[in-house]
Amino acid sequence: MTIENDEHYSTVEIEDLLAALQEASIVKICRAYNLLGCEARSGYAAADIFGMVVTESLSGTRAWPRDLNLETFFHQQGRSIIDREGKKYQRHSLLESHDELLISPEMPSSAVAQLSHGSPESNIEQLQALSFLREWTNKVFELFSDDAQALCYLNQLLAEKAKKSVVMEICNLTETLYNNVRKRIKDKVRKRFPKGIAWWEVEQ
Amino acid sequence: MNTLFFKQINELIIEADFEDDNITASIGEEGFPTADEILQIKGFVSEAIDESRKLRLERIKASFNQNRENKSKKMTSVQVGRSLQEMLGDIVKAMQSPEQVPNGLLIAFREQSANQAASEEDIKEIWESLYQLGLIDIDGKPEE
Repeated sequence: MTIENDEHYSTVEIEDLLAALQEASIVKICRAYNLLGCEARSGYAAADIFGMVVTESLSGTRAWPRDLNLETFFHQQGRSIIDREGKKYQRHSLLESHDELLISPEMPSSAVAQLSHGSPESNIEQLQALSFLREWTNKVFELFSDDAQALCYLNQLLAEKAKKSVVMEICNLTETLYNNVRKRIKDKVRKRFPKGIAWWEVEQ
Repeated sequence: MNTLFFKQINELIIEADFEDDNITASIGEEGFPTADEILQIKGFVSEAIDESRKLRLERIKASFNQNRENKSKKMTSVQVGRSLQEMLGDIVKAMQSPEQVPNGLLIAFREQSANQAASEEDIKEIWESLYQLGLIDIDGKPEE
C-alpha cells in the first residue's frame, strides 16, 4: 500500500526522512516510549516499538502527515501501538490467569467468581490504587505549593479540563502566561520525577 | 480519580525532553536508551530503508514489465485485426513520408526489401517495427 498525496509523505520521502534520522531523535523517542510504559504495558521494549513504527510507516499502514515532524510522528504512532499491543497483552495475561485458576487443584470455588469484581482481594486492590493516585497527586501538587497559577493549571488537568482556552479563562492567563506556566510545570516535574509516574501499575 | 492526570504529567515530561537540545547526554541513564540500543535501532532503520527501496524497485520493474506485456498483447491484437494488404498499405504510406522517417531507417528498410522476398511474416515484422516507432498511425481503425 502506498500513500502519496499532498497531505502525507510518500514512501520515497519517508525513506529519506528515516535516512536522515539523528541520534538525539532516537533518544527522545525511546525515552517517550518508556514514559508511556511500553514494556510494562505491552511487553515490548522501546526499540521494538520504534521498529514497528518504522515498518508500519514504510509499508503505508501508518500515514505520515506532512505537518508532523519525525519526533512528533513517532511519539504519536508509538503511543497508538503501545495502546494496541497493551490491550492484546492484557487479554493474554487475563486468559493466563483464568487458565491458572481453572487448573488449580486447591481452588474449590468457581474460577470465574475469583476473577469477578467485588471480591475482598479486588476491594483491597482498589483501595491500594486509590492510595497510589492520592499519593502521587499530592506529590505533584506539593511541587507547586507556592505557585498559584501552576496549581490552577494542575487543578484543571485533574478536573479533565485540559483545553487551552478553558484553562486560560479559568486561571485568568494570557497566552504568554499560559506558556510560562506550562514551561515551569514541565521543567519541574521532569526534574523531580525523571522516571515519570508509573500510572499503569494501578491499571494493571 | 483516574490515571488521566498522570498520563498528562508524563506527556509534559515528554514535551520537556523533546525541547532538550542536550538530550544525548542522558544516553544510558535510567529510562533512556543505551548506546547499544541506539546502534541496534540505527541498524534496523538502515535495513528497513534498503528493504523498502528494493521492494519499491521490484514493484516498478514488475509494473514496467506488465505494461510492456500489455502493450505487446494490444499490438498483436491490432496486428491480427489488420489484413496483410492493410499492413502493406501502412508500410508504404509510412515510407512515402521521408520527412518523418529517419534516413538510416529508410535505407535499412530498402536494403531489407531488396535482399529478400517479403514473406507474410516479414511484412508483419516490418509493420510491427514501424508501429513501435510511431510511424504507423492506426487511429480511427478498429483495434480488434
